[in-house]
Amino acid sequence: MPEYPPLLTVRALSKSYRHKQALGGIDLELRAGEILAFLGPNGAGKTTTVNILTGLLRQDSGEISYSGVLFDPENAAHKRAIGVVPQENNLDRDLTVAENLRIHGYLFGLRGRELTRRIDETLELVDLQEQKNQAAAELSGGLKRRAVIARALLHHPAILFLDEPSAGLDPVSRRAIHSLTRRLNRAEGVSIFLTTHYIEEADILASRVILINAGAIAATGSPAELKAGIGKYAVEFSNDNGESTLYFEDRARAAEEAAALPGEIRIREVSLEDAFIRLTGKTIGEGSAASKHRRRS
Amino acid sequence: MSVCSGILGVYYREIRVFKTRLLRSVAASMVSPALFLIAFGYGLGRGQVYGGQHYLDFLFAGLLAMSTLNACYGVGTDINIARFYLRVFDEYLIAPVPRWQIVAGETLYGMTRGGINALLFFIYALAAGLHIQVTPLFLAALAMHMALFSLLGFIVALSVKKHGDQFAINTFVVTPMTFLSGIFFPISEAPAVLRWLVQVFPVSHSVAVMRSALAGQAVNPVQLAALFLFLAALAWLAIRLAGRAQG
Ligand SMILES: Nc1ncnc2c1ncn2[C@@H]1O[C@H](COP(=O)(O)OP(=O)(O)OP(=O)(O)O)[C@@H](O)[C@H]1O
Ligand SMILES: [Mg+2]
Repeated sequence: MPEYPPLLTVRALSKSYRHKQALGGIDLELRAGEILAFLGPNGAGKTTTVNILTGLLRQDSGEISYSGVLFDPENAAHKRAIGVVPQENNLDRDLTVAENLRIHGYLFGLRGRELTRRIDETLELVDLQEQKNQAAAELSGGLKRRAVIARALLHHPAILFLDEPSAGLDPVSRRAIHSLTRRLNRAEGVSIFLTTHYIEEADILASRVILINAGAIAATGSPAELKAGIGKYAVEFSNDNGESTLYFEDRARAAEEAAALPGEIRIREVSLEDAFIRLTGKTIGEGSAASKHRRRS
Repeated sequence: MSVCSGILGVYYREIRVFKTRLLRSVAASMVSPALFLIAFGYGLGRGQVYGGQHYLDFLFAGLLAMSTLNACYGVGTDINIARFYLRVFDEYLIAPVPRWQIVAGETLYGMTRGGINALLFFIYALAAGLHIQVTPLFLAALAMHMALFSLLGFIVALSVKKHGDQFAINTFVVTPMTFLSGIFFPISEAPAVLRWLVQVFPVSHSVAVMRSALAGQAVNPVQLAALFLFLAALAWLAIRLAGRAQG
């Protein structure tokens, strides 16, 4: 099989805001056909990365290439290749869903009957046909999110950037976004760059996960690989120093160790969250480690 | 067929949003010109003559310039909201369109807003029986005047760091500019210092050209050239700024 360059390659990307470094030289790639989760806590640098990769923000240094060609935000072909769902919904609130899509269509050079057909097709894809003529402001959070996704898909991008697509949604809406993401990836062949601070979301959706913390990449791998890196079983216990967790490769060893520990003890399978905490020293969403972690095999 | 996608997309967006508040907006822009005409025109200026013109005829050109200026420059506030609050501007920036088309779309929108005000003014003028002539030269001057202040609104909207800064610029720059630049009184009547100072305000030139054209008098070619220069400079600046709307 011939080797294609990755859809997106990033080398030594760095960015500082006035007083603060947001990205300290990160490397990553997005491969054709994958769902890549860019997982990190608040302030890790996820949105900064997305904004740079989509041409909204200039990096201080570092190289970005799409399919082996250096990224140029003035290059129309590059922009046609990407669709963007920003972290904050930026629909025109007083306009209808269809009008919001139509603006996007015009901006991407679509016209007339072709545009009208695409609007219908895309709304169908995200299951938003019924809300077509409703003002965006009237939609629930979950439906707004789907409208933004539809808008990003209208010009048939090869890569879709989803910046925290399910943040702030209830479990049902979140699941709808998850199945839509999967459908876009499998049935429509869209490669997806998904940022999230939900570990579970990365675990169930992504073929690969990149952990980012404080502007640096802490680890890269499939969810299974990341978990395997720390063990299979976790033993949680509490002692005078507070809560602690130990990791083990096999269940019998875990049970043996657990039996020797005082206080309340819990044995469970290792989760991606364990990997995240071990690799970043952080509890996601809270900013600092609440407990100590050690590894035993 | 996507040569002007950016212009179409931006203009369509602005017009659709404007349509949702069309009535309110048009009604609002009818009030203050009428008040000015009544207060200054009938109150102060009845019978007064400036350079062979009745004050009301003189004032009409000034008020027309001011009203269209406010409408055109006012799109800056819309752009500002779209940029900071709605973040709609990001949609333009991720689109495969050259920056000048974003500028052109917003300028056309500003000119549309100004044009509506101008139209209302001519209805007033007809009703008041003023002595004005709408010539091609006048229309060209009006179009330049409106493009100029739409561009200025755009530039201010993209240079400020916060939404609130826009209001400060209105208070300290735009309002003084409108009051000092020959809208309400002939610049020739002002002290020498002021006469020189107002030359840096583009509105001094656009109002003079529009006023001469409306009265059927010859237009000062130097002022016309100044208008062209201002227009080119502001267009250049606007296009430069359009690319870095985010940070
Ligand atoms: N415009 C800005 N000016 C100054 N600092 C900024 C700006 N935008 C982001 N930052 C800082 O840069 C860092 C990275 O921010 P970024 O928004 O990329 O994080 P994130 O991973 O997307 O976080 P979140 O999960 O909260 O969306 C943060 O510390 C943030 O405070
Ligand atoms: Mg973010």
